[in-house]
Amino acid sequence: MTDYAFYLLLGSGAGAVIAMLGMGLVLTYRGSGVVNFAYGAIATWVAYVFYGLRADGDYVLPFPGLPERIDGGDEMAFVPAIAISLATAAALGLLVYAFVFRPLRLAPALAKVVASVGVLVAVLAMVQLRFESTILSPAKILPSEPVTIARDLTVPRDGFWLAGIAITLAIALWAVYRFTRFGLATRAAAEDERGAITLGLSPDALAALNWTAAAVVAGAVGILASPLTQLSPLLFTALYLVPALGAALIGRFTSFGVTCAAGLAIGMVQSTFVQLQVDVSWWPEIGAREGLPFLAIVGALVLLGSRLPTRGSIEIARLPRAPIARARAAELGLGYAATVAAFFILPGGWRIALLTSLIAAVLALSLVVLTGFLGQISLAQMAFAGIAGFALARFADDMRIPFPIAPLLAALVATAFGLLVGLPALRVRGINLAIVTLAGGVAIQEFVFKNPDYTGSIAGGGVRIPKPELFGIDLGLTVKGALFRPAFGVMVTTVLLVLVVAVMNLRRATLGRRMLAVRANERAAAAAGIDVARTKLVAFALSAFVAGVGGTLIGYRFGTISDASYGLFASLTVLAFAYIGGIASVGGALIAGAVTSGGIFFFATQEIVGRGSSANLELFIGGVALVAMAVLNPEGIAGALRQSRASRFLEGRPR
Amino acid sequence: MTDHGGALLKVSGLDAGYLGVPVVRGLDLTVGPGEVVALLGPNGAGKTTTLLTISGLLPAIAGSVKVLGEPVNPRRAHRVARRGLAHVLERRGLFYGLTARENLRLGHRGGADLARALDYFPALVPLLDRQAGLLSGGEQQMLALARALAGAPRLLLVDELSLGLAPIIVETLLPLMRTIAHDTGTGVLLVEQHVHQALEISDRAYVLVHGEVAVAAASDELVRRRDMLEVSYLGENAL
Repeated sequence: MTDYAFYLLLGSGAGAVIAMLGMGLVLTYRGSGVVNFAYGAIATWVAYVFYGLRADGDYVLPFPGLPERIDGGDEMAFVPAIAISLATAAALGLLVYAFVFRPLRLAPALAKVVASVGVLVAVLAMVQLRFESTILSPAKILPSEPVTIARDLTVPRDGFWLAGIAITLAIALWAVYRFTRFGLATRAAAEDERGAITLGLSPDALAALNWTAAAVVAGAVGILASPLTQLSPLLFTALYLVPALGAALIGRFTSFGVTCAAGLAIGMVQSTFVQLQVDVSWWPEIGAREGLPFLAIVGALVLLGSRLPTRGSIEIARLPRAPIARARAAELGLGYAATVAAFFILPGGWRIALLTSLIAAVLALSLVVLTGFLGQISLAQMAFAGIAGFALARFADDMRIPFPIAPLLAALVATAFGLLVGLPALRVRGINLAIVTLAGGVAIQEFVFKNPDYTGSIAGGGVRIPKPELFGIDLGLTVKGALFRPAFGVMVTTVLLVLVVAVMNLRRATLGRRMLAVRANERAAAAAGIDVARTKLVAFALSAFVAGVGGTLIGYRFGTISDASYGLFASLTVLAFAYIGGIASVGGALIAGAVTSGGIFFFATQEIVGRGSSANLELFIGGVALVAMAVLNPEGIAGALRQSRASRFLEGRPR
Repeated sequence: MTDHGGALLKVSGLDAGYLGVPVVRGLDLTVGPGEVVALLGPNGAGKTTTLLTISGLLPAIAGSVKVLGEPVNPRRAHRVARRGLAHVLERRGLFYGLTARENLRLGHRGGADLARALDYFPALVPLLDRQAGLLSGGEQQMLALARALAGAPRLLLVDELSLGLAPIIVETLLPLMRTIAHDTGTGVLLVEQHVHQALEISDRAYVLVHGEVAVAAASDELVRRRDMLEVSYLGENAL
């Protein structure tokens, strides 16, 4: 038993990090009604800034175009470094609120989720742009000498320090929200913004203050927690954000005390899994750690039915228009022919960029069905793609199932998972569902993709996908001696064409109209005789199928796949670019493919400017564009094009 | 305190509505210190829209609203409240998760006297530590009024005081508006469905029909000339 006590105590540090991030999420939510998926990224940025100050005295600036860093001479002392870092955190929180979430305060939940994903992508890309080596080992800050609690029970004490800080923070936040005028005003504004305004309170100023406070908490967590493990860009997002969301949900995004306790508990229980693996024969070696917060989230949301308290703001539901595509067969045929021709004419680099675009368009199409038509947010689209990718390896490589059948079967496996994720969506929607899918995506990634039983050993570079072959024609991308073969491009273009036509028809069909009705108002749809549950499940299945097809294409393109091929970050960027293109139309998905990172737009820009841009810069631009799009034009590029066409038409100059 | 030509509230040529579509057109309205003014009219006439625009919760489409001599900026609506405008919203705008005392505390501003605000509503005193959401409808309305008075307003807008209340409570609450205006010099603008009770306690009244003022007259005159009221509510052909 002392073993378990040891691991429980050892987990107090991680638990404290989860608890503090959870409380910061609650603070942000109570102050402004935003679930900030970029919260971990704020902690990350501040941790890197602090590291930069301590290691060589440089203050790193996050704006492209400006000087990268201000040289501060030698390494900076602890106190000024921490002051500057926390000031950075405060400024970052205030900036993000002022430029992103203040303009979005009346926007629907989707726009807010998407904008926070944009901030997340931009900040993480900036970390990679500014720091050459991103895996760092910061020096210890809190005392970590071992402390002996009982006989045979000696643990390092930094975990206790962190837990103590977390509990102090919980008490402080509770007291502020309970007793001060500021806290009362924030609670009041959360309940009824209009009522608050009539009393002379400014919900805006309150939100800004809460954001700033939450960002400082994030910064402090980043600084204090990064010495616990190695510091890496995705540390706070991948490792801690999901459990922190779980803890916040258990606290109903309201209670600091419950959130703190839940966070500590999650971290400590996770820690005991190390020992459980030894003692319990069937205990999974991989993924149990990530499975726990997922179960906590599903349990809290789906089974207990505790969801985010709604905010009494005046929300203007302005969902993106989902027009019926008017493209004719001739236009589609022309586009198809041009793309196929491009694969024969263009040089190799262009072909790869075009492939990236086409595959990204397939993935974006899957979100058009789910988010555009049905109005549900999925942050796990790449997980479906990955399921199909690994299933394809199994079917095509191990079982020798031939080409068109194996990928279709693989996509069907993804469909089954889509149905599974769709089940919670019957009870949970909007931002709550975004949280479930994020946790589910992380759980699948850790539980399935990192498990060598399913996905091959990492040392072997992942699993092999045999080349596609149809009627004796090799459709592979590379064959001995021939790189970038056009045949593969033709195959991918054909697949995309089929899916484009299918989704266009879906929009026209009764099923598509049912989805739009469910998107607009589930109760009204049900009252009109639509089976909401069935419509949702079908949409999830279709979307997962399309994403699965995209996943098999990724597999064929690279030849070997590993867990890195379908990561969490990829899921987020797929959503980001799909939204930029235009989430609710087929045209939007095609544009999304064109502008995606590494796609044809960025490649063409590079060729024309004659200067290499890095993938990280493209991601940064993508993140910023996503925020701008969410704030200025929720209909995406496709919507903007439609509007300019419409206005030209109104001016009497039809196209 | 500067002189605003006597009026606490001066609305001139106001078009108010939603998304650029006016509901209220060409409204002129004033409220002076110590005056109780009733804004009457059938459902959908634009009474609530008018009040929301006055307190800056809805941007005006055209025309001007001056509260205490200064124009209202809807982007900084909370500042109007700080200048001395209190608005009791149609659904009372209470914070149900907070206690009655906490609600009052948020309404309390400057040198206002919390005890004096409570003097008007002695029934609230034993309920101060109860959550606002657990009070009865009448108690909630009292709390909303007390909270508005706790900020020592110079102009008080009350939307549908009687909504969902028993007639006997309305009979005690409505005359309080008169008393408050008399005691404190606060100007009161009252939206009310109980026409006759509203006319009894008010100095002047405006009747809004389809967004336009059909009748504007002294209240006692309207009490005498019921035909004017009935025509404006029911249309010319009703008689």
